[in-house]
Amino acid sequence: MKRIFKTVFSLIILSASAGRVNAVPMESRRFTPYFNMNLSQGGYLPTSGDFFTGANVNMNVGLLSKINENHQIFGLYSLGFAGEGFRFPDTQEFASKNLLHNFNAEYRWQINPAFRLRPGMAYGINYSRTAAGEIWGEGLYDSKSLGGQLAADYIFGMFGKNTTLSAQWLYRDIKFPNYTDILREFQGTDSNTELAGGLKDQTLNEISLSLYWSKFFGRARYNIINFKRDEVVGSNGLYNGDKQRDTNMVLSGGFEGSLWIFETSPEVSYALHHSNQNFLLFQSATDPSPKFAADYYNYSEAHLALPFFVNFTKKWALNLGLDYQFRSYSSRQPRDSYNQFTDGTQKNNMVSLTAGFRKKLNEVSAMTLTFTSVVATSNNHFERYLPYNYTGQSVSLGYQLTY
Amino acid sequence: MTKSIRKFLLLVLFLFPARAFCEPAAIILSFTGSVDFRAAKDAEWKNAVKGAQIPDSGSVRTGKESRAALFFKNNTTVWLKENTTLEIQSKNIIDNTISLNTGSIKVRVPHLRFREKFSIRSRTALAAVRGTIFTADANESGDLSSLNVLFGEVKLDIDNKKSSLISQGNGFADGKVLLLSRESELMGLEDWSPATQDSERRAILKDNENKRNEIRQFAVQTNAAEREVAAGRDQIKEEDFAAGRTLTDVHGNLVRVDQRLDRPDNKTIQVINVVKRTSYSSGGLRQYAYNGTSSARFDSLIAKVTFNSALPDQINQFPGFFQQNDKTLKLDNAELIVANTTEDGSVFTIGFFGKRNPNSNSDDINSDLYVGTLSADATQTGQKKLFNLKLNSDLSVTGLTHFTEDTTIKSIESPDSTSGELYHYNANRWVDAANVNSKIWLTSENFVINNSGKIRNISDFTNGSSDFESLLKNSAGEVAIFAKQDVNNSPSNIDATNFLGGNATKKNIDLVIIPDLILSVIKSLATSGDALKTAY
Amino acid sequence: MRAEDNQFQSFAIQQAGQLLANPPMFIYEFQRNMESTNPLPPGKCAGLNYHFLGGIIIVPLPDITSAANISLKLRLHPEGRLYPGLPQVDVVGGYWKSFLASMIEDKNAKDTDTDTKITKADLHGMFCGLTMASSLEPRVRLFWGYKYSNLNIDINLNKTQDILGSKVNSFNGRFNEHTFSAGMEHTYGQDKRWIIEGGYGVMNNLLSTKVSWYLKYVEVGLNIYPESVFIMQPELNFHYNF
Repeated sequence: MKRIFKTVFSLIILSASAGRVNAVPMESRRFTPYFNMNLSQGGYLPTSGDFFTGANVNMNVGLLSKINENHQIFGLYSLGFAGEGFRFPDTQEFASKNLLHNFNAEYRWQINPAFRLRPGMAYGINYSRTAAGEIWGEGLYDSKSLGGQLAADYIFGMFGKNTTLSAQWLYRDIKFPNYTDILREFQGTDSNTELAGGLKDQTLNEISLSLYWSKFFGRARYNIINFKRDEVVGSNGLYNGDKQRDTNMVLSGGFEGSLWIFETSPEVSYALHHSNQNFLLFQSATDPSPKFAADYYNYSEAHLALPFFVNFTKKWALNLGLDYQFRSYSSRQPRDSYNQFTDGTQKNNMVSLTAGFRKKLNEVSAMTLTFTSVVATSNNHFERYLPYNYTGQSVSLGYQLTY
Repeated sequence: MTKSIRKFLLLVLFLFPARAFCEPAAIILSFTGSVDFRAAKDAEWKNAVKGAQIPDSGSVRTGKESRAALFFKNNTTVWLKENTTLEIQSKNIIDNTISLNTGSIKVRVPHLRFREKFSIRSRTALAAVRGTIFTADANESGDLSSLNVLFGEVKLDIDNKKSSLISQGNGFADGKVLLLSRESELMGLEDWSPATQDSERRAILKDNENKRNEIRQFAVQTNAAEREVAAGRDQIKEEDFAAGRTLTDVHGNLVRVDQRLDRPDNKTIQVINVVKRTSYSSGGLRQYAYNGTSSARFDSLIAKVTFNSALPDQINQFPGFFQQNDKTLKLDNAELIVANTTEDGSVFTIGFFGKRNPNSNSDDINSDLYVGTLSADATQTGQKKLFNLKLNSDLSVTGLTHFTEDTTIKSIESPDSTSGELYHYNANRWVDAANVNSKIWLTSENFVINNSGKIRNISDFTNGSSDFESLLKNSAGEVAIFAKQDVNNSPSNIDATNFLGGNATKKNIDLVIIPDLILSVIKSLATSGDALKTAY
Repeated sequence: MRAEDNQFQSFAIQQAGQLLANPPMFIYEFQRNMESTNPLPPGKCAGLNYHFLGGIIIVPLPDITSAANISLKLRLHPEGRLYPGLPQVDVVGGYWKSFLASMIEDKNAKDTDTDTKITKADLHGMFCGLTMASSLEPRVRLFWGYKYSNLNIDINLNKTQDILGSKVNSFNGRFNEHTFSAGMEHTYGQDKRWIIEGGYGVMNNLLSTKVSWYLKYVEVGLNIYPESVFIMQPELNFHYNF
């Protein structure tokens, strides 16, 4: 026993001392890490409401593993926090906050120099809060999504520049585990509301086509959202059994340009949203006689974003920006301040003007100080719960790092 | 071999592995171009061959457009650029020094064992390293012109003066410690192997940069896709606040609770709390009997306050508004209605309605009790009637019987809990305003429960086992309300029926109230509580 | 109608309400300022850290953890030592105790006194964690880690209070958090680092971010806690690494 122990002990000593560690040269790495972080904290002063603050944080940690020349695996974890801020009308209130965790993985197979296949998977958790009292995890609009995508890229030359044509199919199964609406039963419009959440559970199927040429890009997306449980409300004020179905068609394009000390990357998009859902207008939760409005959610929307940088020195840059968004509903009537429908169809506008400075702290990071002025207008004047017509100013301090 | 000699050999192997036997200081791993070496200072220069051994005091030199790589016995690697001369001084197996007489070298030293040393010397400088990658340049006079640390830390002595610790990312040049420039970094990181073509030296670095660009693009595209998926969730907002939770009540029934805070008009705030159960057992009650059915049920609470002036449009303006108008802002009306709304045609309702008297000196609102069962008629369901309830000018409420508080008898309260359990019951007697002989007892059992239906203890909130907000997330209030007959000045087990609509089906009202709304009010209106004061 | 003269009053009231709703979480905001979880500089094997100032918005002020606190970092494994590519591993821990709390105690108070007094007030906290760092380039290091934080508030009264029908004479507050963080460190001079770090507390969904300038003996930083009462808190820490 003693002899065996001594032999084993000797072997351990030898093996531990025989190998000597070399410091690994940084050049040869199988895994390439990625880290990106943007954070900004702003103070907001609207005409409609009082001063508030909001932060935006986005952190991405990723890893690329190059198995060989033709096969790569990407993994990415994203943590995002979108705090209070000015919103486009009919989207969210100023005070809403979202906390997102997204896990994405993609496998890239370079079949040949011109053709690449990219299957991927995604899992996301979105916590939302809409008021001071809500607690993360209890938000009615908390969601979990699971899905994947399959994309194919065709790489070729056009007018002497590298061009990529991409086609993608994306699928998501989105659950809203906290959302149910027994208030419908209370109001007498539904008779079989569920105890558990999941009223807004939906599946999303999207196909898209993108073209990237030199520094220009163009994209067309079409998606269908099928609600698993939520039904369409009929003109009799009752949820009639047809499931809700929404579609979106989005066209977008833009480019990145730089000339001398000037840089810009404008982007324009046009979207058409259609839904078979209708709407019951209640004056309050206990209104005994709601009004019916058909095709309440159909709209077209245009968006223009025009950021502009003037690089005075290697470190300092002036940042100017214009952002314009316009939405026009095809059937939704605007409301007056007494919550009554008026004539015409609702239109919302929002213009943001931005001016600020960016200072590069080093090769990978920068600090920004930005002033934004926002003007939102709408012919909808019922603003008890969501502001539609307001102006606002904000100042925000931000840091960003990309490696 | 004796035991002691074996032990000694093992010890030597452990402390000085691979160096227990005699070896040269270094060997030539590879080279290109014109590279010479000599075994001693005065020895003749010989052409280098791969694997040539360089002993202590030996030297290596490279000519024009020539490179070499040396490997030391402690696993250190030294790469020499062109026109470089290097001398090796290996005092013993744990102390190695190289003298850089002229030229450029890159050195990779692994983490050394205890007492092991590795140093680089020039005419005027000495750099001690362990676990480091760095480059060094010496000029024609043998002075150290620059030292760039790529990984680890270097302790540098210049002219025997005070030493400097140079950590990675920094370098020494022009007599001072400086941050490495990007070009210096790239020069150090590129491939120094003799076999690599000059045009290929940064190939790996370019490859790494390409990989970083690819993963950056992947991150940008992925984030854009996730934003687009999330963008389709626009909301129509018809209330200031909405919350909901599914939990188990004190009886073990699965319960769904939804809350809303909205404003029917610009002077009124309304809170709705609705509770749905798909079946009902009342096993958690201790004091007052439930005599109704066990089928699915719907219970509701409607609380409404109306002020004497219009409120701001947005609720986030309320705190400032209440503070500014605390002397002039007053409550005009207050209503608290609880109802069993399971059946449209038979809504058992209990309400407190109060109105401020503008002619009195007090801002207090005195409210009375109203009880009844609202039934459907040709024009409205019982539920619609519930939504239309209001206090008339003659202090009546259509469909409900008006009761006033019976001050001739004390209320019945549960004794103070000695165990800390958060349970309480009480009963108050009320008199029909139109008939003093008609009395009812309004009884209730009140619980603070967790999401599993277990009754909480005060120690849950004071012993710090969980933080406050987690506790609230896992807490709710449950109140079971009954209208009982008065028998011998006490509430009986029989349900009262001496009010409009009666109570043939022996209903009660069993509400579960979640604190989400209360927490929001505390956070938003904490110092504005005076404006909401009411007396009952 | 709007409160024209009280643009900021609503905001202040809401922040105060947030404080009242969760006092331990409010105090934890200050503890977070002292929880330095960035790695030891290359070549250093241990470090002592003292949190000197916190602050409100951008105004530096001593905070509740400032008076008595200490934290220690120990390098367990230098980068690449055991195996090529293995990151640097540091273990970090710290402790603070508030002397301000003892100032409001009245140890001589008895239950027969007319007024309710605090006979014992104890505020203290600790944290411990593990940080790993890997050099991506000579001047850029990526680090990540895990941290456990614990905060205790113990208050004893001289006489019992009636709360919801129960008798209470002590309040105990506990706050625990498990935080995962990641960040990047960029060297911009000898003994000078710029650090950006983000962390997420899984128990309370607490997000914390920090930007700091880490010098040889001093760290000056700005913490942004999106959901805290004071939101932006500057910090000033002293450290000695060896």
